[in-house]
Amino acid sequence: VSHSIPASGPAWTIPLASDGVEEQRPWYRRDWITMVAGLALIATANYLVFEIVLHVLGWHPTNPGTHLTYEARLLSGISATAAWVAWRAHASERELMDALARERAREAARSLEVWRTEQAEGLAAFARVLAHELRGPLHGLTLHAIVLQRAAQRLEAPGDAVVRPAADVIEGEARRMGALVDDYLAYAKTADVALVRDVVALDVVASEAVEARRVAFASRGVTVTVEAASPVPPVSGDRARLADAVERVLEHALAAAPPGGHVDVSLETEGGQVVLVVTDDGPGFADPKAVFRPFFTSGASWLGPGRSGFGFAVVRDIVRAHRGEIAARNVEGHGGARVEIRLPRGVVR
Amino acid sequence: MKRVLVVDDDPAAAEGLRLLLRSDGYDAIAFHDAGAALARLGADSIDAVVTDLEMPHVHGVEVVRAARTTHPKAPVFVVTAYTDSPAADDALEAGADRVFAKPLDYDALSLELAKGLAR
Repeated sequence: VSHSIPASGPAWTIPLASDGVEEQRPWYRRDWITMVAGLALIATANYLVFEIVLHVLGWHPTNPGTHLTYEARLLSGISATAAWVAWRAHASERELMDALARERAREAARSLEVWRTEQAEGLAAFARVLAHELRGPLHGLTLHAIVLQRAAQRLEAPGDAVVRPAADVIEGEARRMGALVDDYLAYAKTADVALVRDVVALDVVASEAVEARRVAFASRGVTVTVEAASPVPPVSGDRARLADAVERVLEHALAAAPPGGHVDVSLETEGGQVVLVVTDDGPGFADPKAVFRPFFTSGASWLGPGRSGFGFAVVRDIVRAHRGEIAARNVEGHGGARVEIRLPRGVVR
Repeated sequence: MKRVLVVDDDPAAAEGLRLLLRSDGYDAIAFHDAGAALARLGADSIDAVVTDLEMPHVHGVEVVRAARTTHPKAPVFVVTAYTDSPAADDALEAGADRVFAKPLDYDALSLELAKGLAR
């Protein structure tokens, strides 16, 4: 099934009666026999009511001067029935139009959802192809940079080395590009890799992620703390993927916090969820609503070059794959970034 | 001098790896055409093989299989951009010792190669 949406907006189609609106019609619109029977019944009822009114008023047909009332009765019965039919027709038309509008809105929402899914899938496929295609040239580039490094090492005097530092830069840049490519692949893979289900202690994952970055935090002069309000129940999921998500959020906080700044990681249990919150006292997100969009980078200089813009999109996809929720916003007051990950505790099936 | 067969349809990759292996003291021979590499495997004594996977005409898994048949004791390594593809698993099943991702961590390959040749 292919769905396409022009640039002007979603392609809405007005559903015909056979498109499912038929069932939403009131009964008197469905069956003409029922309708005729209904009309006859109403006409009879009207006639009887009119008879009773005439009788009460004493306008009996046998009375002198009331011989025209037969026609009057007939006309009034017909007009009352016609008025009722017109009113019902109007009401049923309105109901039908409402049903059509609802159906159209549902159809539009469905089209938009399909379109979004296709966009995401297309983007993932693009990222996959791009990543694989870039890995080849990067491979050749890296190998030749090492060849240059080695040759320069042999030929250049340490004091006035020119080629060696240049080769080091080439190799370093190639590796950085390799890391970006890995990021694209990570994004592309999140959608289609079946998650392993382990019992994962998120507090341990967070502590390990912080410990692995102690030196990096210290070298930037950023203080990092991990706090768990109480024993945190385990969550069910893919440990490596969850660790990846936590590490990415932590890396962002590390890059965002200013020298002498703080990054706080806290864990708590709320209802049936384990909540992990990472805050920093950096400049915050330029646009918190756009954080999870692929290719989003905050645009702030502290992020530095070499960011793929897929980082938070990957985190979001990992969290969603675990039936969790993620939110990003700026902290009121000092304005740092706050990322909150909520995962259901216990076993996820 | 140990002879290492390098197979990659990308000349830059094959030549780069050949140069590095040579500077590490190996007799490295590079092939851009996997068919020619297969012929060499059947005709010559080879101590180790490093091959790409996705190549035109002959797939890297075929190279791994041929290497395992003609030189059962030689370490065989795969270097591929498609580490996440089923072909990487096929290569391991066919007898490859290890699959490395492109861009290659040369030091890791060098270490594994030395270990494999010392077996």
